Amino acid sequence: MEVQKQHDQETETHQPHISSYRDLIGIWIGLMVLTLMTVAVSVLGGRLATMAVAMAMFIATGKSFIVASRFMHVKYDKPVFKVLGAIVMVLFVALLLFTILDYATR
Amino acid sequence: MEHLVLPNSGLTRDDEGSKLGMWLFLYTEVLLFGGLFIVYTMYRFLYPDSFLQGSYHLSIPIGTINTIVLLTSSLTVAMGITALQKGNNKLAVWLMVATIFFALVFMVNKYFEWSAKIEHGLFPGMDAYMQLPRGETLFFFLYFFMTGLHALHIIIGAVVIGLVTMEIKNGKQSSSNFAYTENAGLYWHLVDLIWIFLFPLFYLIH
Repeated sequence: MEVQKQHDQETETHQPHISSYRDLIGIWIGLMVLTLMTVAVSVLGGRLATMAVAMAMFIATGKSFIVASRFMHVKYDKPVFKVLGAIVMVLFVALLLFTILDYATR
Repeated sequence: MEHLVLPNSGLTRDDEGSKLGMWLFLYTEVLLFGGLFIVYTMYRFLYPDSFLQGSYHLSIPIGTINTIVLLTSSLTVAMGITALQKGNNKLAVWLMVATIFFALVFMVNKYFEWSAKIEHGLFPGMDAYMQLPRGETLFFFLYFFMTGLHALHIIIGAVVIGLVTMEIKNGKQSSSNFAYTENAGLYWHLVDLIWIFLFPLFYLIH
């Protein structure tokens, strides 16, 4: 009986995190604002063309972090999901960077 | 999610493991599109003016609407998973149906977008396309290839969410067994995530 109770308590504390509707809608509003910001930077900041590209990529990266951590739930997952995601990101950025370096230094 | 599958535990499934499997698949998707993004970066670096010219053919309003549609569909699928976890299956079904609806809206927009370009002969191999300068042919080739591959992912995602919806409806997916639904959601969010980069890179150059 005692063991069963303890077991129940353990499974209780291991309940999965459930994102609340409120949080999800808040995230969505944030993503909307960032989307409109990207469009505004591109349409209004035409003269700062290179800056606009950097800004657009900066905002897109921020948005993808928000989607991954909150919508895709990585924030509440075990560390292994964060570590693997980080490794994939580092590999991709390295691949991109070295390709750019190659072309830029020819 | 926290179930450990131990011998004699009575559990025949491993939710954590299936989620990890889904993520491993998503990493390969990231590298698939990532390779294309690198091709894009290099050609844009070599032909910056042609890419700018090419982007003038794309409509920022349609691109923005599709971005908003996809972000909203990500919200509905995430809320659907919350509803399922809270045991509100009926709401979960409706939110999944809403997600499929948004996928359809996205595809209809895409259809009008593509058919306008094809009418102007800008699809690779058509007359107007063949007369474009080299940089612009690369822009349109990448535009059709990358948004086409993305659209294919939208179709697959919508079908998978349809299958999940039926599982929820007949009670196979529930508040105590939602790994399949969660994995379908992960796929859908990834499709949204790729569009987050496609949109500024193709539509917002000017």
